[in-house]
Amino acid sequence: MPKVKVPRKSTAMDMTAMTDVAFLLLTFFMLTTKFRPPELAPVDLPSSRAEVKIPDKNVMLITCTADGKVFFGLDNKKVRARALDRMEASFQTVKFTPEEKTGFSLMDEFGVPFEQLPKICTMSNEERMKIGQTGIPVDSTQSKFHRNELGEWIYNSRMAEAELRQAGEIGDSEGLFICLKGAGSADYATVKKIITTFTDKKVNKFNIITSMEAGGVAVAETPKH
Amino acid sequence: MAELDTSGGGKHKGAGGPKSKKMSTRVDMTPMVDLGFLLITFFMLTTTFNKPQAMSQNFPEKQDKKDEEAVVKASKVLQLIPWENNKIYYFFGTGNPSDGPSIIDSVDFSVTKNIRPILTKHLSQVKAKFGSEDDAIFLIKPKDKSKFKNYVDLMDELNIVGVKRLVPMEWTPNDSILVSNSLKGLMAAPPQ
Repeated sequence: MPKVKVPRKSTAMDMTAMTDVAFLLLTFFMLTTKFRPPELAPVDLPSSRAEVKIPDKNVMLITCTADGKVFFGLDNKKVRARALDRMEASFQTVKFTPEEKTGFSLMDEFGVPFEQLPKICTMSNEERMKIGQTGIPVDSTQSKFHRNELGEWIYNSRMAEAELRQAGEIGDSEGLFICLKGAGSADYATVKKIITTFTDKKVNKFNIITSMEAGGVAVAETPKH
Repeated sequence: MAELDTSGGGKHKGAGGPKSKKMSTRVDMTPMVDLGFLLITFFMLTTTFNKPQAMSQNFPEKQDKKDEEAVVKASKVLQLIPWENNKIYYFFGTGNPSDGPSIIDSVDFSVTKNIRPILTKHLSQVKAKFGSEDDAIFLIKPKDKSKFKNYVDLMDELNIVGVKRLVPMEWTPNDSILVSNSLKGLMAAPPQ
């Protein structure tokens, strides 16, 4: 009986096509990835089923941490610089050098009373994280200037944005998108102060940043009895 | 003009020269693929596709004058008081002792499902009485010591059941009397 010869095939494959795909995907992910900068004030976001998208630009972010510190941030550098100019003119006693102003325009978020602001402007990001910022005074009793500093920041930023918009320097925008990012474990008292500041400054529409909750009937926890 | 020498190396590469070994041009791509997919995995895992969402809030304009405050029918009102320890107290109507006893009750907040029947109950009661769910008014009076998470949860529930009119408010001494009576296991009754 003649033996049937099974032809031996090599197990080596041509990997070229696979490499192509792999690197194509790699390039895509590398280009689309935006590394999140380390957060100055990390908070545990409450969850909700709300679905308002946060725009990419012109956002004013007010953060309230679990221990009641308030941070303020603007994402537009031009608005930031202009708001600082307005604040300087308004508070008068605190002066900024040009270097400090440049430093400020590069600062995404901060949480110190106004009189300490020049000091942290020239710091590096790491130093700013380290010093432990104490939060912006939300009522006049905490402020050295006896003014609601958060309110001043909100007012001056909105004015700065409006001026720049009218001058045609920041393209089309519909005003600042005001976001409140509060820690779920923060006491309502602190949040209430911020909300009162909003309404005092005629900000009656704002947005609470939440993490997404699973759809349908969301029941995660069981009651503790 | 310079000319390219195309003669091919001249006499050194004669017929008797050393034969260069023919190497395969194929390279083993496996390690490269490994590396490629490793990096893809890394970038896929670190990419955040889902941005955080926002919940929009519309607050009524601040009113300086007391007399501009709107007067509403008590039966349209449900008052909700987020309390400490994930509790929420609620009662229908004004809660004023002069308007008769209010029954104040509380539910645990950790199950958001608990609060929804109360909201829908109020909506259907108002609909039965006034013809439209839109007439229902919800007053939210979070206690200072309540957590922000509870506030957001409550707002979320109100959004889900489609509440049109809700008013965040300061809470009054009367509310605290109601709640403390409830804590003592009493119904809030008009003081004699």
